[in-house]
Amino acid sequence: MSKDVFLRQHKLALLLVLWRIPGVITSFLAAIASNSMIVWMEFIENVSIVAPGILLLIISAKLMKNLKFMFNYGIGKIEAITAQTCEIFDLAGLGCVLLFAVRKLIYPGGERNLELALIISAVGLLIDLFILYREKLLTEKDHSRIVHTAFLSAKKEFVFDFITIFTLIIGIIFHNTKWIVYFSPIVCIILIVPFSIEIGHHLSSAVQELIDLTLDEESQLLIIKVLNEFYDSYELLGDIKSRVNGSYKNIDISLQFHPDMTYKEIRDISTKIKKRIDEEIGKCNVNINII
Amino acid sequence: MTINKDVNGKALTISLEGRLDTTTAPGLEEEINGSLENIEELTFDFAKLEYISSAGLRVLLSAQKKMNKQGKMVVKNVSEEVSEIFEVTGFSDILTIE
Repeated sequence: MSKDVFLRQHKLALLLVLWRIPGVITSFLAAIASNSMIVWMEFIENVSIVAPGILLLIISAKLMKNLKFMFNYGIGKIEAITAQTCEIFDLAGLGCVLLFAVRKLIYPGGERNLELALIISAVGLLIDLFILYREKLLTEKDHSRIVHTAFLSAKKEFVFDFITIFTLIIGIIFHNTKWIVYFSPIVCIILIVPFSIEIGHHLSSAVQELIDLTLDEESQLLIIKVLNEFYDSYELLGDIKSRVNGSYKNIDISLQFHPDMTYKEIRDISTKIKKRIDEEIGKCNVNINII
Repeated sequence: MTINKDVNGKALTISLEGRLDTTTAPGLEEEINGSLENIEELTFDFAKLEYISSAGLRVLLSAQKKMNKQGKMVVKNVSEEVSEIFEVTGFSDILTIE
């Protein structure tokens, strides 16, 4: 993991936060003005994107300075921490919205300034469209997972804004009807279900990523011992990365072989190294990456 | 861990003080990679090295491989603890230890 990657992540996180702040402000103003459940939900959605962005900004800055984390912490861990924070925040926010929505169904109250909320939400939609476009460009240039996650968030936010505007328009058109007071809370409750399921999946995958551990020191010494046994078979040694998840052990070893060696010779040596590591540390998956 | 470098013509001596582990190994690797150009004799002085982990061993192995192509590498003043780790992992067979 090079410092360049962390630097790039840091810049992307800064961009993400700067781009998202106008969305947070507009949705907050729209929510205050309208007191509409769906607009409050959109505000929470916006904050749930900015909050992990700030976290990522801090973490990537720390990783650029601290070698301890730099050595064993990969991009996956950073993304997992960020995703976990994001999803926990999302779940907490959705929980609050659910409570408010249920309360509003029991004690219905009129929504106000829906026209103003609609204008502000439309501005928010334009910002989201701009962000979506910029993030799509970034995804085409950079294929890292974090950029892909940011692009997916932008898409989610754009769809959510569309639904908010649609709900506000319905609210304005049918403002004289009795049932309209129940419309926004019901849409909120309906939206909470698929969002919660999606968040649950993301959270579970983030937790899985975080419980991945590096192999214990004894096993790592045994890997080094095996590599020494095949000392004359390779030219250079690169990174050795390992992770353990439950009983599953995965080891990635980067080796450079002599340019004169045939494919068959390299394959045979790799097979022997894998077999010896398997004998030393037990059942595991060894990948030999040729550099 | 403290890393001291002493360049004398085409000879480079790296003295380590403290622990060479997961935390400090990347720093040493960076130092080595940035200093090996035109070096034909690399010496590691482990007189004040207290501990070496698998991450440190990987850096040594990597350095030895590089020096095979451009000269030689020697490790000296190895403590009993470090020597034991070298024995167990087979490093005593591939390193030149003085």
